[in-house]
Amino acid sequence: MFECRAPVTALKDHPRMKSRSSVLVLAVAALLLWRADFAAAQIAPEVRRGGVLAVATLNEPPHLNPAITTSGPVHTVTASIFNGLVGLDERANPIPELAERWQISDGGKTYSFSLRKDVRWHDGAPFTAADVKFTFEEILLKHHARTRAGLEANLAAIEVPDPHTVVFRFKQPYAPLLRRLDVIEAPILPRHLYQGKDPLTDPLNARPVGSGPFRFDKWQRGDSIVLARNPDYFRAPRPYLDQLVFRTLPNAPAAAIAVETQEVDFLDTVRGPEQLRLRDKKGITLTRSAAGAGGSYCINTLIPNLRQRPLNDIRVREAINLVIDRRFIVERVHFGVGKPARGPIQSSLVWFDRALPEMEPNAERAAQILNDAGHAADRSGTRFKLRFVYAQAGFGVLAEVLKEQLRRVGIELVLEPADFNAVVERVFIKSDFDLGVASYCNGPDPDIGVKRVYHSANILPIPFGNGAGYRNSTVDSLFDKAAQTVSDAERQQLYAQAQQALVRELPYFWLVETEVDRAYRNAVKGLRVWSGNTFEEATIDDRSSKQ
Amino acid sequence: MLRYVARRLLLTGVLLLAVVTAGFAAVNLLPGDPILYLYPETGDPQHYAELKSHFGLDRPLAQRLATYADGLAHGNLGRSLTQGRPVADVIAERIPATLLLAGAALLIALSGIPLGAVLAYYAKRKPRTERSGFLLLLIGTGLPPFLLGLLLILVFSAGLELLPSQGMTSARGVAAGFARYQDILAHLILPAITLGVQPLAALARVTRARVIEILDQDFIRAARAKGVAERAVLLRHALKNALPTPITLLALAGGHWIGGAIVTETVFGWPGLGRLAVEAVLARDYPLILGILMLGTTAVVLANLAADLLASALDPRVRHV
Repeated sequence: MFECRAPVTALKDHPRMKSRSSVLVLAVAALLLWRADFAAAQIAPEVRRGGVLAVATLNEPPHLNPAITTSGPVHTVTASIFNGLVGLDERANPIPELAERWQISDGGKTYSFSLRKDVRWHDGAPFTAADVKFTFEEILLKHHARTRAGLEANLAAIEVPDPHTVVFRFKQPYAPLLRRLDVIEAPILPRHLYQGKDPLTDPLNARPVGSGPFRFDKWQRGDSIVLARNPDYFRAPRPYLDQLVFRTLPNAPAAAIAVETQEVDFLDTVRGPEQLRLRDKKGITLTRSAAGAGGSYCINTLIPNLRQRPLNDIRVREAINLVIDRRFIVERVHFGVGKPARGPIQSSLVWFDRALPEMEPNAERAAQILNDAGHAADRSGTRFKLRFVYAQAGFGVLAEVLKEQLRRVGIELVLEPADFNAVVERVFIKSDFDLGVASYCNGPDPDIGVKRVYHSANILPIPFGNGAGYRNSTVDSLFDKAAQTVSDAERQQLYAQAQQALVRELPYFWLVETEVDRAYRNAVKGLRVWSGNTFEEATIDDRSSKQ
Repeated sequence: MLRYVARRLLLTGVLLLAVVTAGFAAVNLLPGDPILYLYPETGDPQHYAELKSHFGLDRPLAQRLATYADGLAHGNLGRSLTQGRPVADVIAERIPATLLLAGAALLIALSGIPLGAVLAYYAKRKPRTERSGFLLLLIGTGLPPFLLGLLLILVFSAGLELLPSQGMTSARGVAAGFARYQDILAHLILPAITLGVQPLAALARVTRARVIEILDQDFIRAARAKGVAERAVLLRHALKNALPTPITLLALAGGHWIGGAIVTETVFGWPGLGRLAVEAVLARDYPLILGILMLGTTAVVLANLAADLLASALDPRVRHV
């Protein structure tokens, strides 16, 4: 019923993927689903081992504890050091990781996970169910914003019947759990090292000990973070690389050139102008994906302040929606990377309602609606002014384009740029704006990143909540019901109803489904860019690397 | 002279006190706070309140200033809010990279002084050549570091593939022994040129103008009449007398060096203080911003003092009583 477009395009053409595909089909047929990762390891004896992969990132993380923050730069590095109970495949479906299998019972109220017995922390201590219980109760539920917001109220207990079983009991059935357990949403930390300490200030945050494919080696602040291969990784012989170096290169054009000159092998974010430069370069591959450590399945969204006139009037919002030319924005602001948005959920997710129409601009109709709503133009042609509060670094060009588009129907956008930090405070904490803009990320499940934007319980002074101040009890109950419904098909229907209601009322203006281009040298193979754990299977042909 | 130095140092202390107070007020009045940077999503208002209290940001401004001042009085710059480590440590580990870059750029900049003298010498003898040299200087003065940096990267890294463009060492591992110094030197060349070209051009211009002026004066004519060699006239008489001008200019250019370092370090991924300053401001890491502010202020004041002393040593007419 719902087509799911794989978010990654370039890997389809990956030579190793092609040669492997027939073997994989057999392997998947022959083995149980939870055995699939062993199969991948067994059929890869020919892979090139060793080598150093240099990754360029635009921002340096402030610390390396992924369980206390949702910050993208932190997760970009730590997703290679830690593990979640489950992983996510290319279609954001849960696959085994620290948990080798699970059982859902009690109508979706009880989840029982059987954990792998061969996992060791990087310091040699064994991983057990006690680590999971501790990480959730003492760290994630207190400090990881999304996990705290999503689970805390509904979770009744976490039980450890034996060292290799952990049971989550909920007050109400809770369907989204499995998609909230990957290394980004719920990384598991070692209890024996964090117990009894303050996880916000623990010095371990600068030299983390995890269970993942790479171990922390050293961190030269301002320069690079070096991770070394974990020889005891539970999915041996992975990883194949000897070292993974994350280097902070804050200037985007220079970082793109560094891939070209082979100073680095992989760039985790290629912006529009640099994408134009790298697109035709020999020896470099660009991979596009809607998922990433900093946020998956994101939509650039305008936030109208519904608490005040004129944006509390649905006719005004309808008119604005009709003026916005999304295709133009994709082409000119995003250099063609991304798609015009059709609603609150990214179209590459299974939860997207395919019945939603494209949003086409119609300035004449918009002007008519504004006239009917009593917003006549004055002598200078202006109907009303809106203060647009936005982060100059991410949305400066968009602001100029929107100002021009809205001017066509006599709406004057007063541009009020600031830096990211100041914008978050004005829009989300103080609600001091008419129109704001944010990149809202859906995440793999609507319960993680969609509900928070539209549910009236989330009209709170918190970053990236329901910033518009939208209230609709029908929409609230659809989101609540979907979270408690176990069947995915039924959940899809509930989310489809919510999407239709939202598109009718336009509490936000969804502009562009953003995608991220990543660039890497052709010598690099086996990247899993849809997953936070991008480098577990990566290999590099070092012979062509400059030292 | 000693009294003069002591008075200047005392003034520096007063200035630092003013900078800290004004800086503390300014950074705390900026919209936003470090929590929004460290924890870009907060689960609920209680979570946000817990984090505010954890960082002590829920206390009144005056109380926070008092705590900070008390720490300062005991030589404690506080802890970085984003890194959770002492500010002094965070700053100290970034100083060597910036000193290296600034030192190399200073050497490049100082070569502007003899260059200016040579141009002045040829101003009348080979006016055409001199004019094209002067034109180059004008271009150099007008080239902002972010543009020059990217141009150099495009030509020497991407185009000719001669020099690395990012970081202080190679990303794939630091070589040992002599090779390590070679590696650092190769990485240093482009950023040092980027930071050094503007002051080089500025120094050469003022030196040229001053030397041309001096070469017209009576004592030069007298020296020439006495048969002093032309080289000695230029170096020992004209240039020596011209020196206080470029030196004063250099000392007053503290702002250029700080701004230039920030831009250059960002363009070249250089792990120094300039980038740390930008990150601290974006993160609203108040103690770290203030620490860097104080260090910057001290450096500029000391550079001015050193230039004053040097100028007075070179020109006996400038006396500090």
